[in-house]
Amino acid sequence: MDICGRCEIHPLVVIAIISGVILTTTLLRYYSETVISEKFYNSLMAWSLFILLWEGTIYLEIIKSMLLAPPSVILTKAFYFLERGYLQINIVSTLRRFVAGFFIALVLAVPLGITLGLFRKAYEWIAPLLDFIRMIPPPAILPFAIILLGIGESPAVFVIALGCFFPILLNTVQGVREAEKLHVEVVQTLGGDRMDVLKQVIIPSALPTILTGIRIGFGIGWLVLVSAEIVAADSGLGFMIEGARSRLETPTVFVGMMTVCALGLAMDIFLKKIEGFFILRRGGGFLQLESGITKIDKKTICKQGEVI
Amino acid sequence: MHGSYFPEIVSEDIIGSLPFLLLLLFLCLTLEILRWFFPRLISTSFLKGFIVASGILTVWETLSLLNLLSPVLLPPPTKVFSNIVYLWSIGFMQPQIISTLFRLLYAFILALVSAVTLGILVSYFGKRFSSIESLINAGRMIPAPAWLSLAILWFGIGHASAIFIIWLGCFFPIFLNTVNGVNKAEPVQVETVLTYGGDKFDVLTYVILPVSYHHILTGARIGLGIGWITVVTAELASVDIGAGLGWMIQDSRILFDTTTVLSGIIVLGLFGMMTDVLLKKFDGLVQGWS
Repeated sequence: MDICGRCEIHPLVVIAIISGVILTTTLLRYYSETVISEKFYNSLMAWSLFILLWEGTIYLEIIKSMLLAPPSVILTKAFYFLERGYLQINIVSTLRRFVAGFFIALVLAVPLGITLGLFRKAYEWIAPLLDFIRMIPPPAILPFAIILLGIGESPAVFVIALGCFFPILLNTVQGVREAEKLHVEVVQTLGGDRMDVLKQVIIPSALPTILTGIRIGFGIGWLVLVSAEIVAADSGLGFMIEGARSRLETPTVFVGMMTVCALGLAMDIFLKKIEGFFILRRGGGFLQLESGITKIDKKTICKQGEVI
Repeated sequence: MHGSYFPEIVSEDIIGSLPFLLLLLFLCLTLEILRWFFPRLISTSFLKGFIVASGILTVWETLSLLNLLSPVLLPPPTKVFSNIVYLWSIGFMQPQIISTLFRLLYAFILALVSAVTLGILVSYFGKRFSSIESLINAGRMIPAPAWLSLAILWFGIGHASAIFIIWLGCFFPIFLNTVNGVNKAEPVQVETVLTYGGDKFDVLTYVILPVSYHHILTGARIGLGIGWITVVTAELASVDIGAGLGWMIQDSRILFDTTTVLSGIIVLGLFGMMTDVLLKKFDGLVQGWS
């Protein structure tokens, strides 16, 4: 670890800190149960034991450090990259690519989905074709996109947009279709025109489903983003991972993976918060699911109870 | 690299533009007439899809005929179709399809078995599971392709690392949906079985599996979609040179052979749709309690 220089973290330091955390929380919990909730304590324990096991097996040379970098080395490497600005550059270029693709998908899919949801006949004609295109894995289109659009940012953005597009579109169509007939008729009876129906009934009632679609689309887009960067990019976290792999720098691979994980987790939590907010505002926490009326489980709410 | 694996592309057009368009028209009419006589045989959605696809192919072909599309960037459908038939006839396409499908299905079945088993086990130990939930959540946020580098380090180039990351990609959706489905089993139903003298195994077969069947299937469909993305990524990143549709696409991209690229994409789409339709068929086989 001479690459790192001054900020090296010794494996024993990590082991000591984690052991300290375990001891302190256990003692705290032993004396008063109200300070730390049981759930938090349990997951903290799980994380600590996991890190301890990870660091320990490599420190005791049960596993070769070339195959599995220990947390101490990963942290050292991460600090080193942060200091040099290498990590920030890659994060920025990954996020820029992703946000561009995601917004293109959002801007195209939601209006198109609302239109297709309103005109059932048109959707019936297009649906089989959409099913075919949906099942082509977006990374497979990447080489074709490179031929069409040239090397650079645009093929990756295109492929990410394609990955996000279909979940958002299909969920929007479904949401619009599930709007209550009764509510539509109420607006019409009270003298509203089509625009009023759209604004007052269809969009508000489809919003939770659309948001679920956006979250699923985000998941697929994130997957496609990493694969696009591994296959063809000259910057970004996927590129960082792939480059480190070819130089056998396992710690860097882990730094990249952890960063991808943290960014994905943060965005997922953010989207779930938005989703929860809109759903609670709309219907007092109840949503019509496929099998009758079920109370929303705020954490895993999805249509038909699917979890991505 | 290319020369040693890839066949010489000497595909001739096996069908001209005009016969191709006439064939499309003929097929549309035949299907419509067939549907008139045997409505059960051909579904309306299939017919509609076929007609729309024919329309798009017609426009595409016509634009190519009028020289409005560059044959290098976007070759006409007749060329792509001839190329698929040619690659198939010389026996080049089949091994690629087989190795892609082998990887995908191997990993998928592995994921299905392990995720359903673990999902049911975890639901039995519900309280303990909640403590590792955040660990699993963090693990699932690392996209499967990001594991590719580590997989190559651990298992080397070849089938094993591809299967490992495809397994990872399929595992989490199936696992989480199984847990979700098992939790939907009502205590009343479980207690009924126990009251009538059933043991834990009976609870599993009569209540938990039927209830969670639909959820497991939903998870399997999501997992399969992610599996397709992952297998193609692995092959594009040349996890195994010389085998797989993804490798074929990537290698012909390097040669600027757009026709083969498009052929590979279309074959991938067809097989992806077939696996999805096949999984959809399983839905409703087992009726859950509601």
